[in-house]
Amino acid sequence: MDQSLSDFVSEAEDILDSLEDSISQLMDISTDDHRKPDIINAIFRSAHSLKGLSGMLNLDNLSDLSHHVESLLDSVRLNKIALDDDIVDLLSYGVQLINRMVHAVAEGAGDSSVSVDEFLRELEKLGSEEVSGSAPDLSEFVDVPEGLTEVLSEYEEHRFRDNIEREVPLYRVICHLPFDTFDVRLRDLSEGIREVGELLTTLPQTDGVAEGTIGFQLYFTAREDGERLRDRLQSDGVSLEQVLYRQRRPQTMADSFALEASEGPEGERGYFEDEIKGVSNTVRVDIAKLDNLMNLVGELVILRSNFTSIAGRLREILFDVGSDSLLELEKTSVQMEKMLIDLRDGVMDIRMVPMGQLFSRLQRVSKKIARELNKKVNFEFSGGDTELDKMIMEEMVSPLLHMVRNSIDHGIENSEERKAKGKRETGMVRLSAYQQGNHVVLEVEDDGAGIDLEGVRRSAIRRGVLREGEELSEEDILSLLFKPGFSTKETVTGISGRGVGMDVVRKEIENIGGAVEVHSVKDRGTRVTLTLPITLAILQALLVRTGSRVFAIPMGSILETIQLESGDIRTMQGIEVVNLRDRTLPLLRLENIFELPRADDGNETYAVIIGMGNRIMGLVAQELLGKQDIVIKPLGEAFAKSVGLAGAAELGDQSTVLVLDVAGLMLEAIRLGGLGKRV
Amino acid sequence: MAKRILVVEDSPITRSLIISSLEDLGDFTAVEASNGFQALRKLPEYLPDLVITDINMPDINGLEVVRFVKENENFKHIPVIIVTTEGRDVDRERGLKLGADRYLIKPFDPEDLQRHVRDLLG
Repeated sequence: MDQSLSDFVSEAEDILDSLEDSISQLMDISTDDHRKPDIINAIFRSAHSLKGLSGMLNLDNLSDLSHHVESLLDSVRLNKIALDDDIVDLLSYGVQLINRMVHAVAEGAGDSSVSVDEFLRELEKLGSEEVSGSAPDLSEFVDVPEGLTEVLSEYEEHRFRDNIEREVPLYRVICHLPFDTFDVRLRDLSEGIREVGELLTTLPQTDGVAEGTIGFQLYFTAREDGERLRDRLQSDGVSLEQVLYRQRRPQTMADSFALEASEGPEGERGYFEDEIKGVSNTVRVDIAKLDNLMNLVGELVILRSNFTSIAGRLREILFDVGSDSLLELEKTSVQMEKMLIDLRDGVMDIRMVPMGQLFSRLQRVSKKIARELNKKVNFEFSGGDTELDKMIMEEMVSPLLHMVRNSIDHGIENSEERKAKGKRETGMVRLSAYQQGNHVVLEVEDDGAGIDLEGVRRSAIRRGVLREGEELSEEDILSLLFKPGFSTKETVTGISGRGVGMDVVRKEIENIGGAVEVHSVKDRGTRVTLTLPITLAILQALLVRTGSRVFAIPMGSILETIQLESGDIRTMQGIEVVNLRDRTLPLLRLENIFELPRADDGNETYAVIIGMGNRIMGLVAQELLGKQDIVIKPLGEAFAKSVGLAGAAELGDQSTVLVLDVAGLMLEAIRLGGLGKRV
Repeated sequence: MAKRILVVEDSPITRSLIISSLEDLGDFTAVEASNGFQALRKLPEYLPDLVITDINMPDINGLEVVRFVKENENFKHIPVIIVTTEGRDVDRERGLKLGADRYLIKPFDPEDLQRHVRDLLG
C-alpha cells in the first residue's frame, strides 16, 4: 500500500477508536448528564476529522459518508434533532459503515466496495429543520462582554444559549499563568471543570498580562455552589467569579405557551393553562440540594437527642420537686422526634426512584449489544418498582452494564452451541431487584455457559496469582474474578473488553457500602448478586465501645448482638471463634485491624454479629452504647484510604466517632488471616 | 532568510499535506502545532511570517487563535489563512470578521493554497 494510504489507515483507526469510545460513553450516561454535550461534540469532531482527512486523500465515498454522519451529529449537537434510541442506532450504524470502509481501504479494496444506500435511506427519513434568523447577542442575557459571541464557534455559541435557556449558573475563570507551564495548568483546570460542569469556551487574553505570563478566560456552567467551586478550582493565579443573568431571558417553551394563552380566544385559555400546570407539577431538583437538606435533618435529629439527655439530667436534679414543665419538655421532645422522623422520611422519599428507570435504559443497550454480538437473547426484568436512592442508582449504571455485557458476551452461547446442549435457542438474561431489610438486592442472572472454573484457575496460575497445585474451593476461585486486571478470555472481545473490569465493579459497589457475590453452575448459568444500601444519606448505627474507643456500626449490616460468657470464645486453627446456635462464627477484634492497644478482656463482652452477602462474623465489643441515627461525613485526606472505615459521624455531645465499613472490614479480616470463610 | 509558516491543525496527515503542498514555494520553514495551546506557545517563540489554521480543534478553537493573533500588538501584522471543512459558514464569517486574511475549504487545491501564501508573503 502507498505510504500516504497506510498513514491514513492508522490515523483513521485512531479516530474510529475514539469515536466508538464516545458512542459507548453516550449509551452509558443518563440523558441529563452534564458530560453529554461534550461527548456528542467529541463524536462530531471525530466524524469531522475523518471527513477532512479522507477528502484530502480523494477517498470520496468515505468522505461523503463521514459528511452524512457529521451532519447528523451537527443537527444533534445543535438540538435540531432530539437524540433518541433511533438516532443512536443510526449513528452506530453509520460508524459501522465507516469502519468497514476504512478496512476496505486498508485491504486495498477501495472505499466504493461498501454500500451505504440503506444508511442514506434511513437518514433521508429524518429531515432536519433549519434554524433561521439571528439571535440576540449573548450579552443581552448574561453579563459577558459584547463581542464574546463573535469569537465563539457556532457550536460554542449554541452551548451558551442552551445553558442560558435552562438557567444553569454560569461562571468565569480568569487565570494568569506562567508561559512555560500554561498548557499543563490549563488542561488540569479544564479537567477539573469538566468533572463538575460543562466547559463552554476557553479564550486566550490578548492584553493586560504581565511579561512571561499568558491570560485566559474560561466560561463554564455548573449546578454546584459557588463557594465549593472556588475551593475546587481556585489556585495561584486562578480566580473564579459567577456571571450574572440579566432580566431578559430567551423565550422558553413555557413562555410561549403563556404568551399564546393570554392572546388566544377565551375558549383556548383553559387548555393552555392546563398545559402549563401539567408542566409545573414536578420540580427538577439538584441532588446536591437534597443532600444538603438531608444533612440538616440529620443534624436536627442529633440536636433533638440532646433534649432527652438534658431532660434526663434535669429529672435527676428535680427528682423530689416534680415539675409539670419538665414533663412538658419530655413530651415536646418525643413529639419533635416523631415529626423529625417524618421529615427525614419525606426528604429520603424524594431521593428515591424506581429501578424501572434504570431497567429501561439497560434494556436498550442490552439489545444493541446482543445484536452486535449476533446472539439471540431475551431480556427479563422484575422488581422495577423497587425504589433506590437516586445517587446509588447512578453509581450502579456502569457496574450493571458491565455485568449485562459479560452475560451476553461470555455467558450466553451462540444458537448452535445452545441447541447442542439441549437448551432453548434463545438465551435469557434476567435483571431483578427486591428489597431485603435495609438493603436493595440487584441480581443479574443468565442461563448461559456458566463460569469456567478450571479456566479461571489456569489463568490465575499463568498470572502468578495462584501457585500450581494449590487447592481452592469453588468460592475462592470465583473470588479471583475480582482481582484487578483479571480476565479469563485469551483475547478480549470488542464489547466486553471495554469499560470496567469486575475489580472495578466490586470497588464501586464497596465504595457505597454494598457487597457483590457470584454464583455459577457449568452449562446452567451465572448469577451475580449485588447487595446495596437503600440510601447513603442517613443511617441507623449501633455505637459500641472497644477498649477506650467508640465505633459506630451501621445497623443494616448487624444481624444480632450476643452477650459472651467467659469460655464462649474458643480458638480453632489459630482463629478465635464463637458458637451461635448451630454455626461457628469467626471473631474479629477491631484493635487488631486498626492496630490499637489490646482491649481489656473483662467478663462483660459482647459479640456484634455482622453479615454481608453470605459471610457472617462476630465483632468483639466491651460495651453496647445504643442505637443512633448518624450522618456519615467523609474522613479527611489522611484517612481517606483507611480500610474498614466508611467515615466519621458527629454525636449529639459534639464527640466524633468512626463509622465502620462492614464490607471492607470483613475483606480486610479475610486478608489478614483466613478469617470469615464459611465454616 | 527563510520564511516561517505556523501550521495549526490537529490531523497529522492534513498537517503534512498542507506542508507538502507548500514545498514548491521554495525556501520556508514549517512550524507545526497540533492544537490551539501549542499555537499560542509557538507564536512568540518563532514569530512566524504566516499562520495557517484549522477552526475545529479541541481546547482552543481556530477562531480564538485568529483573535489572539489579530488583537495582539506583537502579532497583528501576521497574515492568517483559515483552512476549514465546508459547511461551517457561520464559523468562516466570524474568522474573517476577526481579521483572518483568507480562507480555504478542505479538501483544498494545493495550487490555491500556494497562490494565497505567495500573495500574503509578498
